[in-house]
Amino acid sequence: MKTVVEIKNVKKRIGRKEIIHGISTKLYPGEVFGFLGPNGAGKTTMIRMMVGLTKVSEGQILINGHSITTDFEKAVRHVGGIIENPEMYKHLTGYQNLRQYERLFPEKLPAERVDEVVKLVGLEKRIHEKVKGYSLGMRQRLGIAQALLHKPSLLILDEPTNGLDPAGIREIRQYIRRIAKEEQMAVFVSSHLLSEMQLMCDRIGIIQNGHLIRVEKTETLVDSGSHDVLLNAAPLEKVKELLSNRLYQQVENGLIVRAEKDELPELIHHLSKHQIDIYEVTPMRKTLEDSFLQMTEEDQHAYTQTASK
Amino acid sequence: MHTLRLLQNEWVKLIKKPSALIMGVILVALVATLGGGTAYFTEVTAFWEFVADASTLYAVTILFSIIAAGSTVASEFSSGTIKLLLIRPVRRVKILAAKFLVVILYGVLMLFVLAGASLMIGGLLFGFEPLYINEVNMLGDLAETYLLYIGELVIYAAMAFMISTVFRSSSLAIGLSIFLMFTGPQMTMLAGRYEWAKYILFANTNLTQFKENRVLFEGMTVGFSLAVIAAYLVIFAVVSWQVFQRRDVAV
Ligand SMILES: Nc1ncnc2c1ncn2[C@@H]1O[C@H](COP(=O)(O)OP(=O)(O)OP(=O)(O)O)[C@@H](O)[C@H]1O
Ligand SMILES: [Mg+2]
Repeated sequence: MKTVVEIKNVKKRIGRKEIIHGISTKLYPGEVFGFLGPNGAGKTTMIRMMVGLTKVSEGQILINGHSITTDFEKAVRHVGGIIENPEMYKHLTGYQNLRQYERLFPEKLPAERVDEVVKLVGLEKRIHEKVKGYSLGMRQRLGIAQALLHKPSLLILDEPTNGLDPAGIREIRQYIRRIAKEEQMAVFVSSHLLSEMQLMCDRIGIIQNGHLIRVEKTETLVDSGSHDVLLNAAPLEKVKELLSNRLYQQVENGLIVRAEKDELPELIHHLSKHQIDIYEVTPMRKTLEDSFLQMTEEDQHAYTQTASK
Repeated sequence: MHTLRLLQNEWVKLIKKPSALIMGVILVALVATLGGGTAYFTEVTAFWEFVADASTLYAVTILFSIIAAGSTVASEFSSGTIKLLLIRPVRRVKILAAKFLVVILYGVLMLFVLAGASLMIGGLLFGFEPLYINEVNMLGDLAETYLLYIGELVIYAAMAFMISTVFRSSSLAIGLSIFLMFTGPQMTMLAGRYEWAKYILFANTNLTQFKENRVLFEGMTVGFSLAVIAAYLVIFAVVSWQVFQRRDVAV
């Protein structure tokens, strides 16, 4: 398949400090790629390198086959983005701002394109007002509008739902998914809002302390956490005895038992054979949040262990 | 013709700032005040004499140009808009050049406002006089003076522009440039006994010294001063360009 972005062993050093430690990944047309990591993980730094705002210390970033370092103009030609907050010229109107970005491209756009993106993000009513008076959510929308102006093949969004209300978040999310599919555009979106990513992304890469520690399909990542079940059964003492070879934890409404999905029927048979009354068996579907926290904690743990050696 | 579009961008950003208009208004008000004062305190004043007097207000236009030059790059950084500006398929040097050209354009526009206001207000207060006095085309003479002012304006604007690009601070750029504009020529006087003093930028900035035949150092010519100014201009440009080109944008 055609790749839109290829990141090859990219490192970033600022002064003596290495902030990004050799990240590699690829993005394909039509996919929404989530870049997930806690504060200070290096998401914004990575994005800044992808759009040429800061230099790549080592490695390569290719966009549509063009290196961002040696072939900047060709590489960014098909990139649209928001980096951190969507800062605009406050003394200009939303419309005048969009015209600014329109004129920064060598080729002229059809006159109606600006109106088109304004409509897409739902800013028609306020577009001729000065940005000074915009709410954060409106600025965010204007930011997305400028990013889409030139129909990029790569859309880079650094925490795009920052400052939007729940309805706005949903709208933008659906919108991003839709245009990614319709326009076969690759979307690179960063966030530390995990629940967000779960609903928006096809694949998720988890970044921690400048390392890309895992890249997975969203389903895989979400499912990988689901090996606990809530078991409500009586008498409890006997259940505990029968499960003594397993990890479990007593909670208010029963036991949380560690068991893979395919082990469940056997487990239930086993319990009923011993005359246990089973009231409830519920798989504890972990959210991405749980797996994320678990993973980054494990990583943190490994990290501190190696550090202390 | 992308360059024109880049110039248009910078022009829109500059001229839509409230300060751009305010500076023009201040300039006209200053000319009017000067005119009122002259009419009130002096017996007879000739039209062309007033126009020449008012032209010394060009220092104010340089001040305004310094303000525009000192904030054009720095304000993109402080507002964060630099991020959206530099991720486009345009080489940074082009954006920088467009910014500088527009600042100069604005400065020249201010000079036009000054000249226009002094001609109008002078005419209203003292009555217009013929174009030729003693067979000298007075308007042409005025234009020549203003042309020399542009030279001075360009070099001060370039200085503020460079400081602003290097330090990304408009207050530093504006403050330092204005300080140098006022103290530079004095400091040059202090160094006056040395041969090299005439190579100091500030010994050459006031180009009207040649028109008025009172040169700072013996043997200086317009050509010499222009060459010195050009040399400094090249240095300012190269420094601004190199710093801007290489800068990691992390705002
Ligand atoms: N200019 C800089 N100089 C020194 N260190 C920097 C610089 N920029 C970023 N860093 C460091 O690099 C690391 C990654 O920062 P980055 O802004 O990329 O994180 P992030 O993942 O975007 O975090 P957040 O979720 O808070 O936006 C942080 O530890 C930060 O302190
Ligand atoms: Mg960030």
